[in-house]
Amino acid sequence: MEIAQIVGIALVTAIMLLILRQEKPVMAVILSIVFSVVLFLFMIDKLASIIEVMTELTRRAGINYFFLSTLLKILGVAYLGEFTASICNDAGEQAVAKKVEFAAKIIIAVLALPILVAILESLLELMPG
Amino acid sequence: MQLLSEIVRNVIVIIIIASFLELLLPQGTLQPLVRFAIGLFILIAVLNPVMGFLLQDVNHTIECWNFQADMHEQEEIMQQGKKLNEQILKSNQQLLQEKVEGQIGAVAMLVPGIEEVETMVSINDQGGMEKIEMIILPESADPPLVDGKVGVLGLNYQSLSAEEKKKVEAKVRRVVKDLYGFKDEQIKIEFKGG
Repeated sequence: MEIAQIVGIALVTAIMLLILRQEKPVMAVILSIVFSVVLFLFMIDKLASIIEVMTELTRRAGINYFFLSTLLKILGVAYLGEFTASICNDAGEQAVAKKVEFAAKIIIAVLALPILVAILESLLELMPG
Repeated sequence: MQLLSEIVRNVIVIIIIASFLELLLPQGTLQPLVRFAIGLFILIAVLNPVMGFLLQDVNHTIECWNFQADMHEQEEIMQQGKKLNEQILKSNQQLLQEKVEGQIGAVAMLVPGIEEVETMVSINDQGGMEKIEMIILPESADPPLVDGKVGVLGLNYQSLSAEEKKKVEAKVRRVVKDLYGFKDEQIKIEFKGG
């Protein structure tokens, strides 16, 4: 049971974090990062299978994989941004967390912008006059 | 009817995928942006067939987002690309080989005691020089006169002595090594006529 392992690791990490935050806050941040990485590595196989199923679905529906790949990129950027921002928040660096969120927002906008422009141009062409 | 079924199919699949992805979304300030991007994709899925129907030969802006080459076509394109790449590599290697052979031959001919040099360079797949083979024609002294006439070339051909050949070989080896960075075992030198 993977969830049991994850719960176990999470509980141990939480207790260790509680202790470390009082004694050595720097170590607490490091432990938090390590826990995030370990959890991500645990989940990476499952994530790959989800993406595989979605790719197969889009292929069967005859929809361009470009749609899904861009959506996945956006989702990845959002996740990484949120993870990093929360780690920074835990470390008490709210300013850095805000900057990370800002960067993630810009990157998502850049990924979505060409599609927005294409839609707008096409709509303008559809309109009379 | 076909247009409608295409729109419905695309929208259903994209909405299912989008709602599933939304479940995976992190709860935070980035969520509205991601939802906006998903909305754009749903818009594209609706607009794409409509635009294709209304403006058949005018608009390609949206079409390019939905371009999908056939799998068989893709493989063919890839194979053609590979073939083209191999051809370019081959011709470049040949050109490189000819140039290098010419250069090395010209440099080697500057060494005293050499009349002519035939050079053969082996080039590997990465374009690196692997081996060089040189056949040297030593500079001969003027053919001696036989009964006041010039002797037939080759019969009275006076070649370098073994010691002189060794000296010439060492010089050529050093020049090629210094100029082109070859190792000793990569250079093979022979003298014409033994």
